[in-house]
Amino acid sequence: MDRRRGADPSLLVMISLAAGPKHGHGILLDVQDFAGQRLGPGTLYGAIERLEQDGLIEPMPAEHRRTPYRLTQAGASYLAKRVSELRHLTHVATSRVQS
Amino acid sequence: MRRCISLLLRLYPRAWMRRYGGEFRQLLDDAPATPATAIDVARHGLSLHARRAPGTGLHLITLGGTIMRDHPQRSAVLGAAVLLPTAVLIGVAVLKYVVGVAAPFDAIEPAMTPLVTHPLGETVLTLAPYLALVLALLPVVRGVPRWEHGRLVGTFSLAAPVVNIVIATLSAAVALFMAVYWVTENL
Repeated sequence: MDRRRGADPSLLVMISLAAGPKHGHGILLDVQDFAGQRLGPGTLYGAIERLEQDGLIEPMPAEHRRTPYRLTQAGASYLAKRVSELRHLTHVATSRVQS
Repeated sequence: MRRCISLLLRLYPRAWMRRYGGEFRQLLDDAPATPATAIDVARHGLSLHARRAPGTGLHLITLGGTIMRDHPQRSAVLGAAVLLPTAVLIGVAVLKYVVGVAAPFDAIEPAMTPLVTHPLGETVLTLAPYLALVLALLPVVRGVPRWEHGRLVGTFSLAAPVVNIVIATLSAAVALFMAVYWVTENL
C-alpha cells in the first residue's frame, strides 16, 4: 500500500519561488515538475496566504489578474535554514536506513 | 465542473475574496477543472471560515445562538437547574444509605416517588447530569478544525468562567456516581 504523503505545501511554494518570482499557476506547474506533487488551488493559496502573513513571500505588481510572488529576504533565510535542517534529517535517516 | 467550482467561491469569506479573489479566479481559469480541484477549493473555503475569528476560535455550539456564546455563565446556571433534581435525589439517598441520616430522604420521598418511577421522569433524571455537563462546557470549548496534509486537525481550548467549571465538575461527579451505581447494580 502506498502511504506516501506530499511535502509541506508552504515549503514547496518557497522552493519554487527560490528560482524566481511566479504567479499561482506558474507555482503549480513548477511544483508538479520538481516534486511530482499536484497542489490544489485552495491548498496553494492557503500556503501563499500563510507565507505572506509571515513575511516570507510578498506579492509583486499584478500582471492582468495574475499576481506574481517572490521570496523576501526573511523568506530566503528561512528557506536556507529549513533546507539545512532537512539535509541533517536526510543524513540521519540515510545512515539509519543503511545500518 | 468549472461552473461548479465557480459556485464554490461563494463559500469564501468576502474579506479573503477582496484580497485574493481576482488572482484566485485567474488560477482557477488556468488550472484544470477536476473533481479533485473542486474538493480542494471547497475544503479551503470552509477552512477559511473555521479560522475567521483568530484568537477566539470556532465555537463548537451554535444552537444556543449568541446568548449561549456570549453569556456562558447563563448556560451553566441553566445546567445547574437541570442538574438540581438529580443532585438532590442522589444527595439525600447518600445521606440515608451511606451516612445514615434518613430524615431528608424521607421528607422528599413522597414527592419524588411518582417522578422517579415514571419512565419519562426516570429518563430525564438520568440524562440531566449529562445535559448539564453539555450546557456548562460546550459554550466555553473552542476549537479550530482545519485540514492539513489530508488529515483533519483540530486545536481545542477551554476558556471557562468559574461557574462553568463548578457546574461541569458537579455534573461530571453526579454522572460518574450514577454510572458506577448502575454498573454495580446491574453487572
